[in-house]
Amino acid sequence: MDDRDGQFEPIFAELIRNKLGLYRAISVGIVNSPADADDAVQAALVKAWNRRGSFRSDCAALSGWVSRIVVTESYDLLRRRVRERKKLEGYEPEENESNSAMEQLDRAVAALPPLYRDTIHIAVLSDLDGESAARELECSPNTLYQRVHKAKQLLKEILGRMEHE
Amino acid sequence: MNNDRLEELLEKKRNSRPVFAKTGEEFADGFFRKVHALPAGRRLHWVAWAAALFVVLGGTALLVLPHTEASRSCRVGDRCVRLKESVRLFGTRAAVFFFGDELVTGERDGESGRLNWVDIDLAGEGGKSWRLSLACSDDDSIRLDSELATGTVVVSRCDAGTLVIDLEINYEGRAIHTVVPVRKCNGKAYYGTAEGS
Repeated sequence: MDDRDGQFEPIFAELIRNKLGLYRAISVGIVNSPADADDAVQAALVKAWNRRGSFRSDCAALSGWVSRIVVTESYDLLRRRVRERKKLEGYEPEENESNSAMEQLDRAVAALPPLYRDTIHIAVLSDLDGESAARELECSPNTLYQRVHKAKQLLKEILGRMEHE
Repeated sequence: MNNDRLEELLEKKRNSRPVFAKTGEEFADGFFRKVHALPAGRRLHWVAWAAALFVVLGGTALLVLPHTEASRSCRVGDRCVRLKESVRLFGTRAAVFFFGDELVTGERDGESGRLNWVDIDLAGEGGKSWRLSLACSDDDSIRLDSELATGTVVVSRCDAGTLVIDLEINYEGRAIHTVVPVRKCNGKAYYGTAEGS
């Protein structure tokens, strides 16, 4: 541990205290498992820690950056889990009408371009209000509103295509 | 998908409230334990990478050296591209051959499976050689009946890295009757050499 870690530990401790709920909500919306969500959030925080020299105590920027890494790490973990499940002989996913609709929604969100995917996870599926979500995504509330609108349009298109397949 | 249905699904997803096993404090403790252990971990990480690199290089050398001759001869890039392009044009039911630079098409007995790209250097009379390139599956039976070439070609798989090509063809009045083992040299590309008749 170098001398500067003493400076960053309180920043990360505060980040975890204030934002862990948000990061967990974002991640569990992707991986659908609390244990996996914790793994993904921890991996994202470790990445941020390894790049801590890039931040000058700018907590808002750090938090927004970690949010986006949480999304990426969660999708990486989800892909690994899907590969592992496919390797298990005789694996049959449970399916009913409701699960199927939610699975389609998950797949549709995953298929969005990263900008709109982050918008859905951070601004729509979390409990953040509009201004907090805009801060997290480092944009104005007006821009966020437009992005949410566009993201939902894209989601409808993707889900519509899935229904016809 | 209408707006109401989409909002309903998003609301349902937003409202799912899983229970996390760790408290915030436990999570933070685990995180700081992990990052405090990082420097030693990272040194180990680089040592592991270096060791893995040596293993990979050694393994690659062992695999590549016995096939150096085949690899040199297997200038597959351009020929693969023209074979693939021809298959795309004529469809997978057609058999596609290049005798040198001359394109010849034939017929398959059935639907082809995954296609391999095969190059064969045929040594002819007087030290003259020419190259036959073809697209074929692991288990293929091909009939040629064109002005340039007639005859049959039967392909069968010998092992994971070898196909056997049984050539019974006449090309421009020249008989080519030979069995050629071709070895995998790059992905789906195979190469072999044979006497021309």
